[in-house]
Amino acid sequence: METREILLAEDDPKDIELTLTALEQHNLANKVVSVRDGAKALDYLYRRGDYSDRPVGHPLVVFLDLKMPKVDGLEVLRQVKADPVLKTIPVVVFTSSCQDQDIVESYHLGVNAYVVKPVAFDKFVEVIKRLSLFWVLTNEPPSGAVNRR
Amino acid sequence: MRNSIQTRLTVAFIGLAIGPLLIVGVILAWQSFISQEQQALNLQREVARRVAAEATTFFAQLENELRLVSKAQVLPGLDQNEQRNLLTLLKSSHAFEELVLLDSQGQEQIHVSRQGHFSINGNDYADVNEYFVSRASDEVYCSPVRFDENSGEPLMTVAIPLLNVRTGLVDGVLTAVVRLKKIWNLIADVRVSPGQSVYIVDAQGKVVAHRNPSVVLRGITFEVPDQVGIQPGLTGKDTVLAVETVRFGQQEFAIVAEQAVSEALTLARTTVLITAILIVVTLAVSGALGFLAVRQIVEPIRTMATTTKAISAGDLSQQVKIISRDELGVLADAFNSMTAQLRILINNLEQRVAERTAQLEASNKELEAFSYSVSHDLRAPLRHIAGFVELLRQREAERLDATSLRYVHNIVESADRMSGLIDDLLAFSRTGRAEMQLRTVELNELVQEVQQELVPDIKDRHMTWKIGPLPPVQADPALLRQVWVNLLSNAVKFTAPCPQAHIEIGMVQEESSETEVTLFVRDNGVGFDPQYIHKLFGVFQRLHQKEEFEGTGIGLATVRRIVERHGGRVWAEGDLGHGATFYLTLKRA
Repeated sequence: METREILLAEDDPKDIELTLTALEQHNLANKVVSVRDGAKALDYLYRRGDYSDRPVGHPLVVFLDLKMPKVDGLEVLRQVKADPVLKTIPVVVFTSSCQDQDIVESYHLGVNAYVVKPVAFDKFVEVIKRLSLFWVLTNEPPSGAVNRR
Repeated sequence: MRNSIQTRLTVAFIGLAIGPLLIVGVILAWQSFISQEQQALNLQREVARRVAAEATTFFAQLENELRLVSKAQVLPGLDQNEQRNLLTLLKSSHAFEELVLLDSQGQEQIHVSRQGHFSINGNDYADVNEYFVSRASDEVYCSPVRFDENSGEPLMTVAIPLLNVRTGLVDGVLTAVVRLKKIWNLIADVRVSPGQSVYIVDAQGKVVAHRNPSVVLRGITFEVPDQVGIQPGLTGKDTVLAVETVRFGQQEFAIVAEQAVSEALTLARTTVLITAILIVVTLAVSGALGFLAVRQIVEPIRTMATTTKAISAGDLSQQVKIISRDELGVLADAFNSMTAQLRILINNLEQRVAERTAQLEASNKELEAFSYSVSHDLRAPLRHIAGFVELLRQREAERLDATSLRYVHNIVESADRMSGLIDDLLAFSRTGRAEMQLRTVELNELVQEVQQELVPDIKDRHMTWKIGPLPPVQADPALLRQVWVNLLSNAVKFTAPCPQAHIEIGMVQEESSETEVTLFVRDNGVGFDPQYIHKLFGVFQRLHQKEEFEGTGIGLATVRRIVERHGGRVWAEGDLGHGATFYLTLKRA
């Protein structure tokens, strides 16, 4: 099995907890690296700041919340997709917003999927399960950037 | 522009100038003509009168001389020699051609002629006019004029009776042949103006005297007209003609003085000509002046009209350029200041509109940010509530009793419901803000589609649909679809308790016009209490218990909002337990 991590960019600790809880039910929680804002997410991806000494390699997928302090999700998405190296990383916007403008803007920037967080927990768990199964197990990531711990 | 002010003013102006001018001119000319004619006539009268006076004198002299001899009462008593000498003397004194002395029997006693002819008892005059006429009275007898066979000169015989004072009887008659040629001198002496002539006509119409002797010698006749004034003259041309009558014995002579009209009325003609020229010149000048004056008045009006047009077309920078100190100048000033005011007003207005628009845009942005926040931030805690309660339930499942589990269930359900409310509120807010893209929508197709989409929810219900022919309308397709989804799903929802549901969609012909169409959705469902009809279309207003019919109460509010954004109206009729009918108006395509 792949050992590459899932990068979860999410400012709300409760959401992180719920997400991790949901992932635990599928034994995927240990693969998650969570960052609390957009700046941290970019630091991680560019291996700078707190993450300057992390091993080389891209995450398997990025779960990106839109509304975050410092640098918001759309800005992170814009920078990632504008970067010739980072643009191959699959990015899934995982947000509370079901606003048309956010959806349209995300796709314009080249998002790989857009998923709205359901309010009901059973549905939330279901969505997390499907997402991780797909991106971690089903989807074939781009080669050449493999990070094996 | 045939009816332009310029044309009308010019016509009126020239008309006003021409009318009086023409009237005055005609009157002047006419007056001048009349007075000239009168003057000419007076002149002719004067001449005729003078000649008449002289002719009268001439005849009187003739008569006097003859009478003097007759009154001498000696003529019959003298011897023949003495008589002859006397007569010869008399003849030489005047214009007598010949003198004849007749006795009471009409026998010629002595005959003295101009040629020196002298005879005694030559002829018998007893049967000639002169003799008898003279004998009958004391008056002079005067024969008609005759013309000498040889010379053609006019001659006249004058006879005077010789009365015997003692016996009272006529002793004899003295006759004289008078050469009227002598009278010609009278006429020759008259000074005449150009075109003027004087002549004497006898009772028979023969011209007996004229300045030009050949006229007389040729025996020309002239019929003297009854009236004086402008009459055909001797030559047949129109003349100003005056006549005086002179009587001598039984004979009447007409003294005619005439002057050709062309000469007599020269002055009048000149006057008329001058008047005409004056009128024409005045006309031309007043016409030109009038035209200029009218143009001066009309031109500023035209300028103003042009400017007004430009201004009404939106060019407020236009100014009326009229530099005059009259009423038009005042008008132009007022006009310009009005335009300036208008400009200021419009600028202010534009500024205010811009400000207001900026404010609106700002508040719109704020609203968007707000609804975004609502969408994003309100949902997160809800999700947390739901999530952690569920986690709690899973964790404590064995320790929670039925009541606690119900509480947990209620918490989850409330969070879910809150989430639905947020979604509806956001959708409702979007219907008010989304830009509308109007196009022709085939209502028949749209309603059929919406109805088909509802079928899965109602496949186990007894339901009849009646969709009448619907016209195409002008609307935003997505928003209009929302209207029909809400209306039809409402109808389906509120007919749920009915064993046999009827839903009818159609058009109200009587309330539709050429531009607007009134549509309705009628069901035989639970209806509503008319006293709450004002709450029907309000946001989150519900007329039924949640337990009876699910929903947030936003559907009809959304319908009203969308229809009103399209410029239409919505209303409803219904009664509890008797179904409801919803009406809406839309613009025809």
